[in-house]
Amino acid sequence: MRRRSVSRRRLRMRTSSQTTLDAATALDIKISEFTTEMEAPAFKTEASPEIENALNNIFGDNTELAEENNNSDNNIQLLTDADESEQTIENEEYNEETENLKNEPENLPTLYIRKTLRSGQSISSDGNISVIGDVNPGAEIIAKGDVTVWGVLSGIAHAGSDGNNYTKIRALKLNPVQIRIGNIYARRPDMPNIPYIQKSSAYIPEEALVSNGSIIIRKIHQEN
Amino acid sequence: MSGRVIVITSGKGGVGKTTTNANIGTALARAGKKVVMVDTDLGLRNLDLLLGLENRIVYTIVDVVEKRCKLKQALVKDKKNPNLCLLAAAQTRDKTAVTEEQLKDICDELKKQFDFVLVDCPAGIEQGFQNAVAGASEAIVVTTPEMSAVRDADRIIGLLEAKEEIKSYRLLINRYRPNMVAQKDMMSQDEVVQILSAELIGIIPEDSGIITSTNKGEPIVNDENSLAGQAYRNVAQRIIGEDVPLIDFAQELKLTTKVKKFFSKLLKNNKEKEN
Repeated sequence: MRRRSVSRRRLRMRTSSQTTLDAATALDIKISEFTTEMEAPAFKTEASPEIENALNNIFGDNTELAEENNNSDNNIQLLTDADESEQTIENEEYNEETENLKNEPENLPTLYIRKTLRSGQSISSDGNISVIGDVNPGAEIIAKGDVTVWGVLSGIAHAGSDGNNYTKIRALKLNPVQIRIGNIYARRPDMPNIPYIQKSSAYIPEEALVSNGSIIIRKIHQEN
Repeated sequence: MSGRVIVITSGKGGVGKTTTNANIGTALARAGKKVVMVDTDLGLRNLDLLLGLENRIVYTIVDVVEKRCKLKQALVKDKKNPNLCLLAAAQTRDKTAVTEEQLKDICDELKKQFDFVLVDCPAGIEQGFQNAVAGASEAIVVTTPEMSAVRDADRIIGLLEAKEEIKSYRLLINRYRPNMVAQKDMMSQDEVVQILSAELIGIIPEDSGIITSTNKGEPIVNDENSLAGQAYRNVAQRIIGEDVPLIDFAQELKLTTKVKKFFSKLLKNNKEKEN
């Protein structure tokens, strides 16, 4: 068995750096040089289409959360926008499979949680999930049915986790890091960390749903 | 008589847990309570440095746990205050050297002899944190008004709420800069409290005196003129149960207040010279 000596004189290093060479000669350490330059491997400039697709879903700008109406002062504008989207959804052809998917949350059991979800806590369920409290950033909710938060949703919520794009995510205030419905992902617009959303007593509840292949958020209000 | 075991934790490192521990301990001792401070940050101990007791440590918590000495032998008395003791961590070991049950036993033993047991917690959420909270029944979560610290504090609060033994926790905001808050460059105390939904026990302003006091090995509560020292003394009073109002930083920032303080200090110095 060959004994490997660890004394500095016998230390062998390979390097192609002149600085290291000089230092090594000064310290009397044996050095061997790389004589040929290695060629860097040729990286593909185009990613495979599957990866591109998935990345676009998460980071692409065309699936950014599109708020229905940023100014909630003008009531008339708010109503017409919501009406527009109602039409697009209702224009889908009647399809038994679609109807089943739409009604599925009603038939699922609901997990009922009465506290604020803090960062790092993750809740998942085969049915719907209702949280009475906030969902702080860093917390996750994963449900096969709907997600309802009676508070501010700032974390990640995934409704219809088994692929049901007809589920909805509702909260008193929707400000999620990411929203996922079925297999469609969307993120909130980039914004500074402060001022933080102020909790107020004048929330208008909002819901997020899939319309025309992307996620939209609209306010829920009384329909007369 | 059973003492109160309070763990001082934060999640994020460098927000001021050990400084808070040293200062609250000293302030409680000045108020006449019997206090022991336990450093559980094995391998990276700092509590002894802040108290200036590094030279006097003979036995550490690991010696107690491995039964090389009695608990009483490992307690180091403070230089100035006989009410205050320190149970130092070992610098040569790491957090795997003690288990949760062992630390809980130590806290239970200390509870019998002291009014307050302040447990200093290392940063993180792994074994070090689990050890430190094992024997505690109350917690103080320290945070700075920065998003990263607040996020980590939220995580820690989630972990504390899941533990049945922790009956209550309070929030302490450290390194607060009223100037930046007024210019909306820093989160205000209301925002932090709203994000974390926790009850506030105190706000400590940013004070360069903290660095000097660490270098000298003397907690800043001993300095009568420092605002941070005053804030720490107030926190100690609130822990004892007294209702002390929060320092009004807006008032402190005003030029008139600063001028008044300057002149009163000047007069005091003059009187001392005459006597």
